[in-house]
Amino acid sequence: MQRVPAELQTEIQQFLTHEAWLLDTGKLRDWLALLTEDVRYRMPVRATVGGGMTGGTDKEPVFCLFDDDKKSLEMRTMRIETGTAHAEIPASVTQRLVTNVMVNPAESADEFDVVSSFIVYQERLGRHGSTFIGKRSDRLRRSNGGWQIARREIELAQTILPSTISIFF
Amino acid sequence: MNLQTLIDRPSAQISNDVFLPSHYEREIERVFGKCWLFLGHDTLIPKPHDYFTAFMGEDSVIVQRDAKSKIRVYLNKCRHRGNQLCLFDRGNTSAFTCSYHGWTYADGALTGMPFKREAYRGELDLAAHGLIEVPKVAVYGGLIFGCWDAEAVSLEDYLGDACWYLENFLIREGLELVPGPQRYTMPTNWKLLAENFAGDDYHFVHTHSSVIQLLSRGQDKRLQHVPEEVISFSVAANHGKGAPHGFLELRIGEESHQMDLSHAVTLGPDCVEWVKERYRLQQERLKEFATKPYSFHAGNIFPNFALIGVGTTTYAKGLILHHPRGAYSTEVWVWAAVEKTAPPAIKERQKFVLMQRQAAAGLVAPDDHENFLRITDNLRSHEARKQPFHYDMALGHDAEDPRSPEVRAGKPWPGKILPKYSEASQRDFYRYWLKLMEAEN
Repeated sequence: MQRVPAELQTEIQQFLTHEAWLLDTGKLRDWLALLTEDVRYRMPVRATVGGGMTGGTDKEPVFCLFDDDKKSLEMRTMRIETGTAHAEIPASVTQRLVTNVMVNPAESADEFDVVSSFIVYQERLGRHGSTFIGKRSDRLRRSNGGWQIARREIELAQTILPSTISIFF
Repeated sequence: MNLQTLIDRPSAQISNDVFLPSHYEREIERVFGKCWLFLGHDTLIPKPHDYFTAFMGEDSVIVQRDAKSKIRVYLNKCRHRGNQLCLFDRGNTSAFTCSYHGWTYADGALTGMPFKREAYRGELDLAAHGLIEVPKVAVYGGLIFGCWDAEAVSLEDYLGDACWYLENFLIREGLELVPGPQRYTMPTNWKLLAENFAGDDYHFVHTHSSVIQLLSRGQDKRLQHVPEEVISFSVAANHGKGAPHGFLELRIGEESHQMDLSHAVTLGPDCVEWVKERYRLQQERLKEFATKPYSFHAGNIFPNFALIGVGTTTYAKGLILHHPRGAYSTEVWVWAAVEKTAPPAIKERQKFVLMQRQAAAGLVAPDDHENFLRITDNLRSHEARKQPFHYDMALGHDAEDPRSPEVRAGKPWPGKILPKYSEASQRDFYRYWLKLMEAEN
């Protein structure tokens, strides 16, 4: 484990907390602004591959749930903004918990690799709830005194999703 | 209960009781125990002893190439105390050993166990205790199907009219499965999902209006795949004569090819060449037909194998399984199949477009999910359940051909050709379901 100064750790945790707050309060345009123009946003599917009785995580290229660039993430946001995306009428209530934040320097002095864990609870129609749990590996980049997300790899703990997905992680 | 009363034939009102939990076990036996079920694709298991696990109804099965490379399908259950033998989505092994007492199986045969002599005194007949094997397995254009009914008709006879559609529009370039299906839960009965793919082009415009709006505004052209003003039909395969497979958006005209070319141009000259050659081969293959359909786009092979993305070269062929998980829950598997002959840039785009559209986190499937969630809440309650579903659209007009005289001239396309908006395939779906449910055995 590599240590970074406490001040930097706090700054990055504050950034992730702010990001979660934007998503929980439906400020999707402000959230998009936190992503770099060249962002890569991925969520590969999970599979268990075995030989005999030992298994391992799937490392080969697999189908993804998200493999997005800024343009397709914007398309997802605009869909919700149409007001006719039934999956978000009424808007889901979401509550994100972001924790276990580990910060490591990346190759460039302005970039850091940040791993965090999350729980996202999504409530539909006041009676149907889904919980998504997992971790994110981010590449954060300093920009204009703040931070932006240049890469995000999301690994859900669940193999069978509790529902389809119309929210962000 | 008299099942006959569940589907009121003359007016096509379908009782909500077809979704009752009390019919579920019978349905697993009569529908999933009798029909040919899609399991996966042979590109997942190229070498001897490669395997993947799949479901037939709720039963876990192991699909494996044996030492001679023959594809065989076994129930994932040890013959001793019923433990699951294979714990992985896929892999390669010459033997499965049970984690409970160590019984070991190779190519389906019981080959040994600990203390064979001391414990069993040589009295156990190994040959009589091999894995339970699915009696009928067939591979069609790489698509692997299995059937529990040893007396069932052949897969090709079961597909019937659907063969022509699969052959010409789905498997023509050869498919290659991208590892790892997406898996998600839909909170509804599997039949509502299956019949939606079989015959419900009607829902698209309203359920998915958000996507249509974005595309008409020109947002992210990569996801555009339906030309404006295109003529299309629905198809009821085996109408009135067998397993009811349905196809949607069977398109005619040049526009679809032009749209594919417009995508290919942005991906490179090799992609343009490939799209042109694919089209030339298609025209050649269908030369006996006066009007050559470009492709169908979506469909369902009875009971639970749905297809999406077939009508566009830059859309992966989505091979979708609706696995029943009780009366009100379905486990959906979405496999992405890309075309073998395609240049890498086309394959990448195919995966991207499927992922962005009819997939778990796509722009399309979550809106379906929401509708089925709301419908299912109404299936569970007493008074709401008494109100049947309405499948009356254009009832009594099935004999009319929606095609112009020029389009229907010459050698006929197989199956019953229906207008774009029709509920005939869905009526066929429930009639056949009822027939299976009522069968003596």
